[in-house]
Amino acid sequence: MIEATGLVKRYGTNAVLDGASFVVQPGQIATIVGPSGCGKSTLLRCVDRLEPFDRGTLRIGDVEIVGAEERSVTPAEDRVLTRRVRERVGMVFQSFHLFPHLTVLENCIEAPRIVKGLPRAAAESVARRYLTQVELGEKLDAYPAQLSGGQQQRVAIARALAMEPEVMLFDEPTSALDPQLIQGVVRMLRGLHELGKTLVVVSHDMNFARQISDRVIYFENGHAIEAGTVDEVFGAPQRPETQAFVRSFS
Amino acid sequence: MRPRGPRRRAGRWAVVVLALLAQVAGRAWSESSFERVHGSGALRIGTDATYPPLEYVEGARFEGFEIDLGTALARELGVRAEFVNASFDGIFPALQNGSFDAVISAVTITPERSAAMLFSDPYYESGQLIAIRQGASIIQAPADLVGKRVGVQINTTAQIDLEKRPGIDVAVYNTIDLALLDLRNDRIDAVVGDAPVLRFMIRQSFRELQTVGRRFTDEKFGIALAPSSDDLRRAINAALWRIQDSGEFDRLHEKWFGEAAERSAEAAGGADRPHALDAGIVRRSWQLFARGIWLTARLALTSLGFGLPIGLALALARLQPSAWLSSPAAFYVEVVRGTPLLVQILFIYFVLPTFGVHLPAFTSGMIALSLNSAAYAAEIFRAGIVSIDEGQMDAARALGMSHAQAMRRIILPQTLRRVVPPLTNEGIALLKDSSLVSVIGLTELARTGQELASRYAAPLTIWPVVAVLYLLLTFPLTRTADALERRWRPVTRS
Repeated sequence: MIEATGLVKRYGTNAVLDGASFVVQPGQIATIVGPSGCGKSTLLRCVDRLEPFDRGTLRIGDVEIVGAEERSVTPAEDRVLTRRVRERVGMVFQSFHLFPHLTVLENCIEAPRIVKGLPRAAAESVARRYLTQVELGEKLDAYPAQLSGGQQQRVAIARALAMEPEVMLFDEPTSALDPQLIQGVVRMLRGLHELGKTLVVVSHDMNFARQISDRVIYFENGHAIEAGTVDEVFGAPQRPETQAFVRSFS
Repeated sequence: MRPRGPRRRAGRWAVVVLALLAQVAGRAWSESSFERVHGSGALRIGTDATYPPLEYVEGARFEGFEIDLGTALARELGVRAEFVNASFDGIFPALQNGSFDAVISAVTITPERSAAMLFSDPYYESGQLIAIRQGASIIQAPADLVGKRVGVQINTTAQIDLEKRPGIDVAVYNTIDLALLDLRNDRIDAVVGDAPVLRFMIRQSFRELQTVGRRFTDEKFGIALAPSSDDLRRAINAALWRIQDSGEFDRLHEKWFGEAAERSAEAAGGADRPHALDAGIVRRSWQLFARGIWLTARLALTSLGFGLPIGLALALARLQPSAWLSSPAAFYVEVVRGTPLLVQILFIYFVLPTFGVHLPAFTSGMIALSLNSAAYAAEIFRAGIVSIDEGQMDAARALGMSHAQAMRRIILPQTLRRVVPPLTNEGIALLKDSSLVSVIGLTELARTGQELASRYAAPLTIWPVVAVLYLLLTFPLTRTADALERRWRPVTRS
């Protein structure tokens, strides 16, 4: 389970997250939707501890993180917390950030080998399994620059999966792809869902969110406006902000 | 890239700095020289062997009047003579810091020099002579030099004398053959230098030039010694007296300055003309060239071997969020990059001994070059690291890697691929900058060229050869860089 309560994150005086609260149950696909610049990507980065936040509490399974202004931690404690979060959470970035100097297979075995200490053969067999699952079993020795955008995204998914996280975070998974590839992404995310992963997806595309979500969280101005099922949030939005957003897609 | 001034500017720098260093270093040196000479069994004599017929290199040996004299003196002291080749602009500080026991290198005894060091009794009377192009007879005496451009060798009494006379435009050269060459090429109006050397060079290779008038200064050459060497000075004076008394001195004088010497110099000159490429000179000098190449290559490679890792460490320190690490690294880069390499070399070799750190010349040169190239490499590495997309670090961290793991496995491998071309530049620059170590007496390739150009008065034969040798030395570097880039090609696109 992921539970965020009153997250605040400021850059100077500008509060990018301003009391963000939401809950995602294990095994759910939750989509955080909202207009560009509403703070949803920052939220994802805070969940993965790529950015610290100032106030509020974030629970990921049994790990609890409290905003830096409310509880100060030593650098050593911070490293332990960060490691525990990242054991549980994997991330697929908007522009994938594959390692350009490594082949597809090497991209997927690097972290298991040096973080988990897996021997090369074991790491390769895990990586091959996930790369086959994302239909890239033929491209093991290609370099990222030799792949299409859709293929690169699937490498990024396999790379995250190879660490076997419980939770996967997706930042705008459709924005870097051609529209005809979006159905492939939908299929891919459903496949992960069947593996039992908890998925948190950030997207500004309501039609995409509609196809994949168990739960939708509408986000604007740094906090969650309303949350519920697809039918509840997109079918019968209660709040004027959500209504305006839904109208803009019809 | 680093700015590189011409050698002549570097030479002027050296004069100023060395004068200061000599003051500092002189005070710290306080051992009995005579005991040390006897203990070691060798009299170490510093000489700038670009000054035929007084001292020059022939094949791999030193030759010349003062070389014979030094050998005889050492024999009289009961030790062997050990000649150390040193550029004249660095020769006195090197004496002060104990690199050798005595300087025998056509050193005129002057009041200024006597204040800073000891001199033996004079052993040779010389003086300054004017050389001009044949037929340009309007210059007959020093008074005629007013309003003219006159070439001299750096740090010589000729320079000191002419700069005291108003109205003369003095051009300072590192070696006397370059001054004569410029005179022949019509860029300057006269050259002033030690009489025997000018006569020798003109006889051998500059037939278009002539000397005019008579010596216009009376100068006495003495053997220069460190201020604390009074016991050694007395022993050398006694030895000089014995050599003169036995008639050996006159025999040496006849050998080098007599009529027979003049005839043989003319015979040796003959076809040798300074503006013609002479393969014979190159063939006769291959051993010296090989030695110079070997020293230059060793210096450049070891300095690069130390400089690159230090540079990488500095770059990483500069990128740390903690000011405790980043500020000293930034300060280091700022200071080392902002001060001349020449001064750094001089500092390590001449000033560190006053703090009790005595390093051999090669080690000093290597340390200076390593520390210097580290500063430049640090900025290349830093630029390379910050040019890697921040997302790479995010992705590595998100996968659970620590900052250090991400650096080592993800960021640095990509950085290396990007910095190969600028690092190749730095390596080539280092190779050529290594010529500056000649100021602390290391006969690397450029200094070898200087010595040979003076010896044969044939700069136009020697310098193109030196240039080609440097070019050949850069080939292994550029080939290696090309090979690396080819190997990484599929990856550099992203």
